[in-house]
Amino acid sequence: MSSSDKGGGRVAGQLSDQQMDLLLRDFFACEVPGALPVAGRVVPQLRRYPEVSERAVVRPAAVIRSARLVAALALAALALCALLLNRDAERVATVAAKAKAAAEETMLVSPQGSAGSRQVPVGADGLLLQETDQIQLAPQR
Amino acid sequence: MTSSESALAGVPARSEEIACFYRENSRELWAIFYSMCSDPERAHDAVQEAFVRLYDHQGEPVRDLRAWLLRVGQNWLRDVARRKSSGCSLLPGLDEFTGGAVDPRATAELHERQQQIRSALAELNEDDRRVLVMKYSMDWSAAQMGAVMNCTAAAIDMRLSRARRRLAEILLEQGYQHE
Repeated sequence: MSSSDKGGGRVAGQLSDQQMDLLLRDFFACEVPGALPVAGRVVPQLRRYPEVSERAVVRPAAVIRSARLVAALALAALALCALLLNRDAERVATVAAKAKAAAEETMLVSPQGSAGSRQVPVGADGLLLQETDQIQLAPQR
Repeated sequence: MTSSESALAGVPARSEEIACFYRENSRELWAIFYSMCSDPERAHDAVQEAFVRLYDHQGEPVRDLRAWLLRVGQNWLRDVARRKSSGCSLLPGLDEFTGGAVDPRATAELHERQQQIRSALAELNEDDRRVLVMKYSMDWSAAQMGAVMNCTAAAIDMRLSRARRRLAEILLEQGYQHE
C-alpha cells in the first residue's frame, strides 16, 4: 500500500485523512489555552456577565434589605435596653426615695427612740443617770 | 473618531479598547505565536506579554495595533528561545499529578501524545503548520484563511490536505501509535 492511498482515503499507510482530522481536533482542543477568548462568539467571560449583573443588581438589593433589617433590629434592641434602663432607674429612684424618707423619719425620732429607758440614781447626791436600752444612730445630713 | 482610530492614537488610556481588542484577537495572535514556537504555554505567554507591554506603552502612538502586538510577541519569543537554549525545562503538566484527581498514567500518556504531535508539527514547513493551526485552533474556514494568506479557498483546502498527509507521515516515522 502506498503512503497516500486516495481511493481508501488513507494516508501514510495507517492514518486516514479523517483520522488526522480527528486527531488534530483533539490535539488542538487540549492545546489551546482555555483562558483565551473566542473572537466573535459568546465567550465564557461574556456568558458570566448575567451572573455579574445579577451580583451587581440583585445582591446589593438583598444586602440593602439585610442592612435595613439589621438596623431595625439594632434600634429595637436599643429601645428595649432604654426601656429596661428606665425601669431600673425608676426602681432605683423609688428605693432611694424610700431610703430617704426612712432616714428623715429616723432623724425625727429622739436618740432614745421607742426603746425603753429608766433613770437610775448615781452616787449620794441624788444624781440620776438615764439608762437606755438602745440608741438608734442615723448619719447626719 | 472611530474606536479603532482612537486605539491607534494613544494606547495607555484606552484600556477598554485594549480589552476589546484582546477578546477579538488574542486567539489569532496565540495561533500565530504557536505556529512559530509549537509551545502552547509559551505562545500564550507571548500574547500576555504583548498586551502587558501595550498597556505600559508610553512612546509614540501605535499605528497598527495588530502588527505592533505581533512584533512584540515575536521579539519576546526570540528572547525566550535564546535564554531557554542554555537552560533546562521542567516536565510539562507535572503539577497535574498532585492531588490524585487525575490518573497520572493517563495524564502522562496524554502529554506524551501531545508532545509527539507538537514535534511532528514543528517538522512541517511554516505555511503548512500555520494553515493547520488556523484551521484547528481557530476553526477558520478556507475562505478566511485564504484572505489572510493571500490565496484562494481551493488552494487552502489543498494545502490543508497536504499538510495533514505530511504530518501523518512524520508521525508514523516517529513511531506514533494511533488508538
